[in-house]
Amino acid sequence: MNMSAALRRPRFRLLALAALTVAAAVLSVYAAAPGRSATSPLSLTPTADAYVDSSNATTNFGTATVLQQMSPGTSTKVTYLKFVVSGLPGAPTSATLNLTSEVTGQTASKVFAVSDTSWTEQTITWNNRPAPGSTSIGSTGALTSGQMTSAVLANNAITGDGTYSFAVTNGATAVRTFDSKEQGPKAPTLVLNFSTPTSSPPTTTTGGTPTTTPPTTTPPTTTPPTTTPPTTTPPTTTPPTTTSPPSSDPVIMLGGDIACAPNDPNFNNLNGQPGKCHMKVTQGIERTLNPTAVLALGDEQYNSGNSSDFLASYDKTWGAFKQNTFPTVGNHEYGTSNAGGYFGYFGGAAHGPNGYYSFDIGAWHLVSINTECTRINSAAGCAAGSPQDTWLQADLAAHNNACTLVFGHRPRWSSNSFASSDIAPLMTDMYNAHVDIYAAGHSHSYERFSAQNPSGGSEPTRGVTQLVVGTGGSFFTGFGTVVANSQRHQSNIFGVLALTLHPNSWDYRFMADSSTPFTDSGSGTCH
Amino acid sequence: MMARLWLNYAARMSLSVAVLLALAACAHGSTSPPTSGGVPVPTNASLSSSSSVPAPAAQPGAQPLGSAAAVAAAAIPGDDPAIQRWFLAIDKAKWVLNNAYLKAVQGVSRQSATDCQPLGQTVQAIVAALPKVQNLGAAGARIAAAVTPLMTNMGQLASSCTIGDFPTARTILNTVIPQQGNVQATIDSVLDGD
Repeated sequence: MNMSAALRRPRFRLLALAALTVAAAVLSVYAAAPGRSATSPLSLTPTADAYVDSSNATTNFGTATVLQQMSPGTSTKVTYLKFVVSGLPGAPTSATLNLTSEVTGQTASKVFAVSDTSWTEQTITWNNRPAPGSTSIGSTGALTSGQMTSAVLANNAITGDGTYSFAVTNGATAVRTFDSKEQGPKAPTLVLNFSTPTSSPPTTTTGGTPTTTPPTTTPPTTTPPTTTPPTTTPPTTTPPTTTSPPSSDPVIMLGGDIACAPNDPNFNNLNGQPGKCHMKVTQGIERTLNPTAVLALGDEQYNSGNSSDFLASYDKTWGAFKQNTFPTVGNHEYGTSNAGGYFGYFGGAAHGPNGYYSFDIGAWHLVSINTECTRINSAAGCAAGSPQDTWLQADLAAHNNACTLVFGHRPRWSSNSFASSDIAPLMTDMYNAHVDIYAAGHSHSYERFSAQNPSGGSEPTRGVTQLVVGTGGSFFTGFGTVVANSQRHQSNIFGVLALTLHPNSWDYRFMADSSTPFTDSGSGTCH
Repeated sequence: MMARLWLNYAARMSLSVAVLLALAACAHGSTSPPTSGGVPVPTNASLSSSSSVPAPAAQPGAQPLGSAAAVAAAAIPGDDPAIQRWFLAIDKAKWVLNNAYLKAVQGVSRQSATDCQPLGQTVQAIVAALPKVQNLGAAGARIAAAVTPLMTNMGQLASSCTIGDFPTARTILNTVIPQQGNVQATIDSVLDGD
């Protein structure tokens, strides 16, 4: 859909108004504060939240849609929140915990640090809850039903990358409830602000791996304003979120099927052999661009994705970008039980145990899906109506960014037998939500498709453009019969794909290992 | 079985040779030219894009590497047009099966027999396609050998649930859940030439 057509639709008109207003607001802040850093606030949703109840001491409330607190009375209830913070340029200048209250009350809620972050959403109960610190590190104001309340946290509450856990209590004898992350847009958020210029981290990370409802985050750059001036100007003035250089748009690098195991005969101390184990070379290509983020498209670590191999191979090559890497899980990772090596290595960034999540970079919304459909949700992980399918629909509906990229390990289409039928329902979700790009690996080659509908028919103005970049370094596979709408396909190459994420379009450029020369570049427009 | 599936790379390459020999002997004999279902193309390692590809250059900072042409991907079952056609032929049946399976999983949980009826029907679609892949050489036979018992179990899951024998259905389901992952891993290994 072109922009003028889009603007004739009320939803897009509102979106344009919202984006313009936010852009104007941001620009006015910049103008009013010369020298202020362009570093964007980082808004995080919890990777885990739950409450515990002394009167139900062995019951877990991890999937509850509300988080309760109550002071000693008939029972005591305490809310627990966990955030995974990564990619920080340094300690934030301020940290604020935002909560949406379901009740009205004068008694403020208090926030306490919880040093033990090992609790999980699925298992925490009153009986096994970790002890909060003894001193409050923040407090909300009075609570109003349906309104967000904020607690500015103590300066040392967030000191850098890591996992942070908080307990929230309330002195009232009546139950106080906040919306949990299962509530999507009303989920708790931890907002971090910075003042020092740096290379820009992604503006938003959506945490957690829900099994029934989606976690969603509304990033600062796309939050609809409460008041909007009447205008129909498209959101072309939104300032970029990158700072190096200030006018550039984010560049991300994509590649999958990456690191050989140290016991591979072609490992050669990370240097590989001709046609094998070029993970060090492809990492070197990435380094030349200093990308905003790296999307690791699965099968990051061969042959079984165990922890020791991750540390001995992937970590010593592509691990250089670990702080900025957004991974997706591949079939080889499940060579270790429950992909334990993968989820252990990437930690919160992998969003285990199910491994699907979303986040924003610049103006774009990005979604990582788990295409190992037989490994999650009773082996029905991608079926229509599955938790991942339901989550994907909701996540895409909740993020009306002009541009959206979804990435996973298995491609929906491939000119060989590596295409996945299983992810067909997810591709339908993408198409229905006007997703622009689906990026995958698994086929150890490069293949770029024209925009297609879920049936594989060409649909240039509406379809999903699929990019297969299984060229991250491990080894080559080839092609059989080239399928419809494959615009470019090349086997026997290593390299990564660079995507420049413009506010309403993208540029792509394949950057090949010099031992396997190949080029493919161009651009696309978001719809 | 899992240990067999996750052979180290050295073992994989040795097996690749064996599989390739087997394919050369029987699989490709039944493979028709790759012209149907897509654009006629040269297969496997000879495929290149429409652009000219310059000669390989040395990679700075790395050990000397040989010619890319000399290390081109060996033909593997995943690149075999006949195998590819089989997977394309069952594409819709596969995801319809997945959807029916999820409904059956929910049916067993809810003890709703009607939710399991579609699974029995969709299993038959896959079963009916198995003889074709069975005849596609060693790789096809391995795929059929992996899929057949899964379809048998899924059929029994559907049957027991449909008649209201939910304890039996639950027992079978507990087998089918990990079996699906194992079958997928087997197919992945076969396609990779393991």
